[in-house]
Amino acid sequence: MANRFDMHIQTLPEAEQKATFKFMSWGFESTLGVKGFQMLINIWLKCFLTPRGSDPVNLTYGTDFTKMIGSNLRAQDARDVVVLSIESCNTQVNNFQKTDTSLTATERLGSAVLTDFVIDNTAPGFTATVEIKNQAGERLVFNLPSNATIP
Amino acid sequence: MAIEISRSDVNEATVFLETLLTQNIPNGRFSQGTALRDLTINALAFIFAQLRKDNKSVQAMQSLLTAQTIATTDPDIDRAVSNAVNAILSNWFITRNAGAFARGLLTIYVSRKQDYLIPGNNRFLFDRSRAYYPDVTDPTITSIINSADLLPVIDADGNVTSYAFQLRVVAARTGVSYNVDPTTWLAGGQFSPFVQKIISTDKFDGGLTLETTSQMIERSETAITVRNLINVRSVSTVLREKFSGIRGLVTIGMGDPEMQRDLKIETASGIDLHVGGHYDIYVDLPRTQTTFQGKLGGLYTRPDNIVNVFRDSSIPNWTLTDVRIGDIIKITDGLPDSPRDYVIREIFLSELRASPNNPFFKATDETATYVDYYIYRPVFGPDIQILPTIGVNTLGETSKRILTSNRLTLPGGAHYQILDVAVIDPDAGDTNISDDDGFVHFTERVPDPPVILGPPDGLQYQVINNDPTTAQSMIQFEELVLPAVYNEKTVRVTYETVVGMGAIHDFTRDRFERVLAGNPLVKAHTPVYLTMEIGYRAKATATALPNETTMNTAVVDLINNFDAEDVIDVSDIIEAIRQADANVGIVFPFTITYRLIVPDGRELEYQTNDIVDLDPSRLQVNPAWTNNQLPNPLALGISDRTVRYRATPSGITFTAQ
Repeated sequence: MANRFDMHIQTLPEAEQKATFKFMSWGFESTLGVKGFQMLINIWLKCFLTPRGSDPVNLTYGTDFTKMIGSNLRAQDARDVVVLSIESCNTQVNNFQKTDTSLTATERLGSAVLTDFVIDNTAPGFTATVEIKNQAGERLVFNLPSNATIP
Repeated sequence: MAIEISRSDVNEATVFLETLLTQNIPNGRFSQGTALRDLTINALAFIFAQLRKDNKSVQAMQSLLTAQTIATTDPDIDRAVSNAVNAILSNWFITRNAGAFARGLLTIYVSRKQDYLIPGNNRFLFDRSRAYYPDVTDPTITSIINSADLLPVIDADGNVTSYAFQLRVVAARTGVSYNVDPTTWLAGGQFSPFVQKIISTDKFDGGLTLETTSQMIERSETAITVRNLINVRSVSTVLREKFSGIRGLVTIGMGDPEMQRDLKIETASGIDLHVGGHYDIYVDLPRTQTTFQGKLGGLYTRPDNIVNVFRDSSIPNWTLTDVRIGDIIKITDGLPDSPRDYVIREIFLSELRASPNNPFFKATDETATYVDYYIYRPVFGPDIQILPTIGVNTLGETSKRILTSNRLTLPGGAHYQILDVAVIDPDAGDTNISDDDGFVHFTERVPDPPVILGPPDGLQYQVINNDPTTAQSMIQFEELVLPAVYNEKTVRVTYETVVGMGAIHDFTRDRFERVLAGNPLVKAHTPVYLTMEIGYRAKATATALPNETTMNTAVVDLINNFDAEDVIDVSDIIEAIRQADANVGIVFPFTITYRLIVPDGRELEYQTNDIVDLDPSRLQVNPAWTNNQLPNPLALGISDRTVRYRATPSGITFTAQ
């Protein structure tokens, strides 16, 4: 069971996201399999970055995080949106995984929380830092929206 | 049928695909939220759900059991289900009945007494959407109404205000909506400028809608059977398939208590034995009215075509000879099977009748040939020759045509209630002539030879069925008897009958259809006519006066469509009245009078305050009658299976109290 693979996806570079409004990519010329903690991160990010209502087969899938792009939301309120989006994403992933007994501890979501949020009034914009953990205790801290990992 | 998929259908498809892929691709992670699942399951689940449901539908369409359950709407009107059922049942050569045409009688009032020609394509409009045409076999035929057949309509002052005649019409289309209630019609008088109005006095009958899928499946339950007329299932299947107008069908065969037609007397012992091989097919068909006109005491062909009449033009009056019932006619020459003996069963003025069970080989009067014969009396010892006493007579004739004084032979077919018997050419000065139309009407049906009693009693007539075992069939031999003073007068009989029995009769007796070892006979059910006077009171909270026409229609429909094997009672009728009009408060206790038309030609009257049945204790004994008992209805083939309850709007009356 442990050697089951999802197809790997990754976020596009920040410049490409801004240019195309696309966030995810297969990323590589040949398809890669992915499992374990990286698969969990993929699942979480795919849900987090999918605009809610954009998946035609499941209109409730995704979050409102990407809807902030181009919106007239005040920077001060953006934090709330990020927090709510993270919570919504956690709920959805947990629901996915709740009844799936085939998942390993490294593939199960432990938690995902906003650890830092810095408003950049010049952009205007913000930098958010998210820590995601699996149930095996592995953790990853990364920036939104660039997804650059932070050691 | 549009295939609609629901969320649960998609979920089922998703689970199926996940299981399938997980089992077959061990390294693939198809859990929720994965990209692989999005690509291989979620994207295809809708399509797969559609295909799965389509597949289920195709599978279900191959079974009658499930065909109806998958319909998205009413299975009877869902075209895909209908087509599937048609296709499945076509494997058993069953096709959907197209429905039947309603028929009925119109009374047309005209202002001038003259002949009227009504083209076969003359449209009679009940309303703006329902058209009817004259009920003729060929639309190019023009119906001719003779001026002599017009009845004068006379007002209170004795003046003729108009003339009336009746015309049978048939609906332009099939459907129950054409079974219209009595009313004044919208139009139809374009065949003559003298038409004043057109009305119908009885509800039209016989209209059937295209057979529904449910009805078709129900009918098909007996379809897997041999396709000939040999058992109950096959008779039902063959006839219902062939004749869409059949609304119900009961087959009575050997061993059934109602089967009396196969009873034969064993000569040596005198015991009645059921010889078998006979079966009676009772068909429930729409009713209609018909008229027959003929000369009383005229020459008529027996409806059963049995050649059992013997004549000799040199003997004008057989009753003056020494010939007795039981003597033997010995035909020595002139028939293919002569010499042969025939027992005399009846003696009339101008003819002898042999036993119908041993008829003559052929009717020689149709070929104007004669037979040689003599009549003898079988006794112990040498036979005694009666006529002629020596040698043979050479002017004997055999015939299927009968001639009986004071009698009118009715044509074959169902003879339900007789609505009118009239002599239309009475002698001038006859005190019984009606002021209304100049005819003599006979209103009292009696079981004994009719006599003229004078006012206030009505004129009597009698109906005799010469063979009750063939009653209500196309070969029944039934005669109408009037008082002797009306012999050789023209008699017009109007009676109720059923539509379409002749074709069914011919089919069952067709050389290629009939069972070679069987003797089938198609019959109409024995009718029982219910009449009643119902008192009612409106509710204190009624918002309108109760509609008696609606109540009348409800009661008539209830009775005419009632399953005779169930028990009809007063409470059924009260319930029908209450349902027909919510403003009815109280329905007072009432008595149901019902008349049974017995296969032997009698009409017996019963009364009840509770349930309708043929219990002899309910019989209303007319003291003037001596033979009106019916102690054993089964001896005449009468049972709940072979009777049908009937009612007409005029027989149900309401009184507000």
